[in-house]
Amino acid sequence: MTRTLREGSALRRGLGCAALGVALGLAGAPASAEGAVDDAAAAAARARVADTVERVLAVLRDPALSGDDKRARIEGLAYERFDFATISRLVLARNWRRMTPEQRAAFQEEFKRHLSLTYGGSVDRYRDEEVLLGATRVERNGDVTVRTRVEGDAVEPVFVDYRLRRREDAWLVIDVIIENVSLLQNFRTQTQELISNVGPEGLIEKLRSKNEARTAKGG
Amino acid sequence: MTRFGLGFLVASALVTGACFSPPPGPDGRVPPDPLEGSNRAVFAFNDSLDRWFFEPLADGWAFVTPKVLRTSLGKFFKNLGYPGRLVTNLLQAEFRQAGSETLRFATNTTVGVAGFFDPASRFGLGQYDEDFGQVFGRWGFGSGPFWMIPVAGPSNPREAWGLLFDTAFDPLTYLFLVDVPGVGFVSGVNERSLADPQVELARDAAVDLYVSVRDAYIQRREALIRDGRVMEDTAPDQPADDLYEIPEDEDGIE
Repeated sequence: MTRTLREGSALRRGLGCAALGVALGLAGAPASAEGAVDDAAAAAARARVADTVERVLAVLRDPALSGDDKRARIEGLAYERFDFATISRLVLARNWRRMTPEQRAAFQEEFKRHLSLTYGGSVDRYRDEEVLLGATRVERNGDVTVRTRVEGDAVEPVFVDYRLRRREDAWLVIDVIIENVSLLQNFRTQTQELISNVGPEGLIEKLRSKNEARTAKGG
Repeated sequence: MTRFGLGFLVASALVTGACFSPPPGPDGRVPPDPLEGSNRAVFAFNDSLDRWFFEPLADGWAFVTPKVLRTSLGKFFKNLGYPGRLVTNLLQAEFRQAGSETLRFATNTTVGVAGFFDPASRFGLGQYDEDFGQVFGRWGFGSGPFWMIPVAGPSNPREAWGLLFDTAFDPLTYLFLVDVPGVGFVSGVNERSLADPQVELARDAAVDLYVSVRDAYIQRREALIRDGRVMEDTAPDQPADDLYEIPEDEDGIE
């Protein structure tokens, strides 16, 4: 079932709002009857990523917004477009079972803040990069991975892949994979090690204090 | 610190018996990070060195040097690394990639004015960042334990050997020997300035920075060894599928 939709060329993304429509048009490559469902999923997920990228870039490039405004808006986008319930669950993996419902809820809340703050921090990291959409792939379990390339000062572009999962009517991001490094896997490793060293409470406390420090200094 | 200096450092560490295989743990499995204690100490040192020396230096460099020049300089040094990429592609029987690299080098060295520009990419000549660590991995050598090397950063015995060979094939090494010691240093600082957003992201996103760096390093190196064609614009090689599965024997509490 794993299929790759290859577009002839990467789609240059600017500020123009026509880009979303173009992305939808390009992604709807015809295929066999079996592939039609996949194609629809890929197109929907791709459109979601295209739209998110466009919105984030528009915020980052808006000269009328202050740094704090930008941060708040991007954090807002993160809240809307990441599937924090699934992410928390996958990050905790087996440890989920060993935690009380209160601990799970507390972890999810702090982790959500942590990720949103990190996403909002792109305000400080942004150096006029361009983001282009690349290939889209339907995974075996029905998730869709959308590849983007970030072109900035560095000699090579940075590949950032978004893995999305369908939740009711929306496609939500469950992993960000930067140059083959899955953040989900990365957080899982950190979480496992912290839980085995300081326990679930220690982990939650550590997240909480980091979040508070970052909120205090504005991201 | 130049590549040459790094190579020397790694060499002395390897020679003084740092090449070991850890004893299996009580459950019979090799512990994932047997050197964690000393690794963390070295990591703290490297991190401070970066924060107090390399990062300010890179920021200063970025301040006085136009972006275009820094990018071009990065391309120049990258182009210069061709011998190592040629050899490591050949050693993995990647002949098409070796050919592409050769045409790239010829194009960028001439039309691209000594490599400061990259017209080859526009002609569809891809770049294939192979190195000796990947060669050894492809040949089936185990990585050995994760090993944080002073100044050089995350590594393992396999990658450290790789770095030695990379250094031997790096023209900058010989520029150093013929008394142009500043070149490798400039290359390093320039690279650090171009990588600034990623370093910031790593520091921002980590709950435990050491573990995060270790995991990211291992994930990335393993992916490069599994499939060196990371530069191509296709969907990525995925980590193990179970990363994305919620175990079925549990009730979903959401």
